[in-house]
Amino acid sequence: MTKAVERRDVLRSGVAGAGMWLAGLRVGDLVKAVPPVAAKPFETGAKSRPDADDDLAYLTIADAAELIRKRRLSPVELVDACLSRIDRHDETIQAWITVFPEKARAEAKAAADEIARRGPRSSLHGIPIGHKDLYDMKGVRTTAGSKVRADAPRAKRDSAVVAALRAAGAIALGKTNTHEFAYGVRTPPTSNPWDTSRIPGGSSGGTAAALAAGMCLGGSGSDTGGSIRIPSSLCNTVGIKPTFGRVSKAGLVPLAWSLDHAGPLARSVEDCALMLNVMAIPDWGDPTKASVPAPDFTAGLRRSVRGLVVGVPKSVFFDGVDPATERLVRKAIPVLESAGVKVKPLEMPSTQQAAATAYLVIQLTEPLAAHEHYLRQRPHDYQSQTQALFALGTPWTGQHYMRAQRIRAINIHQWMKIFDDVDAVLTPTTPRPAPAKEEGEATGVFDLVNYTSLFDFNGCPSISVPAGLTKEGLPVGLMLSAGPFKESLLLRLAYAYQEETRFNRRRPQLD
Amino acid sequence: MLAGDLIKHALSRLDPLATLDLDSAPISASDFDQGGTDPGNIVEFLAFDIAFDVEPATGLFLAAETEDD
Repeated sequence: MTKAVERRDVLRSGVAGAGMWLAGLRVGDLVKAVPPVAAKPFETGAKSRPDADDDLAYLTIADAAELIRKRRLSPVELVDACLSRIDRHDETIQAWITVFPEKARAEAKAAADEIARRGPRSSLHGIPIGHKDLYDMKGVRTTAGSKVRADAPRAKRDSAVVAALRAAGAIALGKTNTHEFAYGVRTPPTSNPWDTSRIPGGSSGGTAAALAAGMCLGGSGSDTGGSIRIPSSLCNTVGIKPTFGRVSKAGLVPLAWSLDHAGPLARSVEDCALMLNVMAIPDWGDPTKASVPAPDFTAGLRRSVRGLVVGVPKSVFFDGVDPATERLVRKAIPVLESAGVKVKPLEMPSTQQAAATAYLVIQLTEPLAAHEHYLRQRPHDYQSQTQALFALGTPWTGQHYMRAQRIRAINIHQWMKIFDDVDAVLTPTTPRPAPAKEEGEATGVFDLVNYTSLFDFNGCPSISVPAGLTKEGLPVGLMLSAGPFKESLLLRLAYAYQEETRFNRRRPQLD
Repeated sequence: MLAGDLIKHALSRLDPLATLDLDSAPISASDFDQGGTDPGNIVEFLAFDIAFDVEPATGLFLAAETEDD
């Protein structure tokens, strides 16, 4: 691997030095470096790049990074293009809780100067991103989308993910909206850019909506029941929930400790791989962080998928699916087969129905413990649906919880046997496209977690990639899931599908 | 029934939508044994009617333990 970035360079720049989460971090090894380029100023009006601000804002991270590396695009222009779209569209979309325009412009200028002198630190250097407002960012209040945290003190330090992305040179434009404490799939008041009368999904709905609306190039999310993949599916973005323990959750507001996963959202599979390269750092601030070394997730993206075996569940994952969603998802089968993938039907584990209930017990119980302090201090500051979920968590005893965890252990064991037989599993991400906001307010639309939550339960990596639009113009997501720490395989498979279909290149009409 | 449907169904049993009151909510096992004040009999609805209808899993527990032995 080319080692263009040295720890001393990053520390000298002053952006990573304060990050205690990064203690002992060898940035040169962890930030997958880009080929070095000699000192060179940025060209203005360079050819071979988009001219319009809107096109700049919709660049993929990979394309933008290449233009930045060649000095054909300045981070200043890129940040301005995104801020311009936030100015124009966020009154409608409401993807952001906080935006830092001046800080972002100053960081972009500093990034441009540094890149002109020595080249980029990483593929994320100068790339504008958004952080779900569940991640601590030094000096900024983490509201978690809740009135409960509206007057919380400002964070004293960056969360591990924010620190790692900052060290890689990414520019945080602001904090994106989340469903209250990530406990839901609607993310009010955010609107879906594909149809503003509909929800963007959640709980990372702000990040997904911002990406779909061309307001940033990448972002962070978290996933306890599907909160990275559901909004990705509903907003036509790509989101990967890595294996439990792959990405540190230090500095991330917890919802359910044994189900929470941190991960990226972006507009392409390659961009998710680039972000995961940075986010999957070794970290000792999270006791659940696995010690499994992280590979370069971009390395095998373009390798052939010929010979891989993909299973399509005969039950559970297509239960209750909307016909248009099922049709689009099943169209992926011949696409993968034409690339040489063997597709076969798959029996689900005998514990799969019990697993849904066991998931529910854990999902309802752990947040009650995590929120005990606030629930005793200010219960009425929670939104009514959140209060109702906490109420549902109160009856369960330790005995119920342990039974649920035992079912989980068996279910995981059964899934490991499945992944001995197939490389990945193909399913819809959600049972249907984005519901209307009114329905969300009335019912919570929790059916959206029906398929995704099963991979939070077993901890296996799972990615949602765009699978096309319904006749109504609503995005549908294809979910691919694999065995533990098989993110590279998953990304390769998703990349092959994405490059064949290019559904991820579609944009909503906002103007 | 899948997890999301279970949550949706359980929430539909909350009438009116619960306002959380930790002081009256049944948190301890003894409250649970006494019937508690759970909203909409959720314990009965979920824990016994649906949630732990896991005979196959119980069998697996035994099988797994036997195999390990």
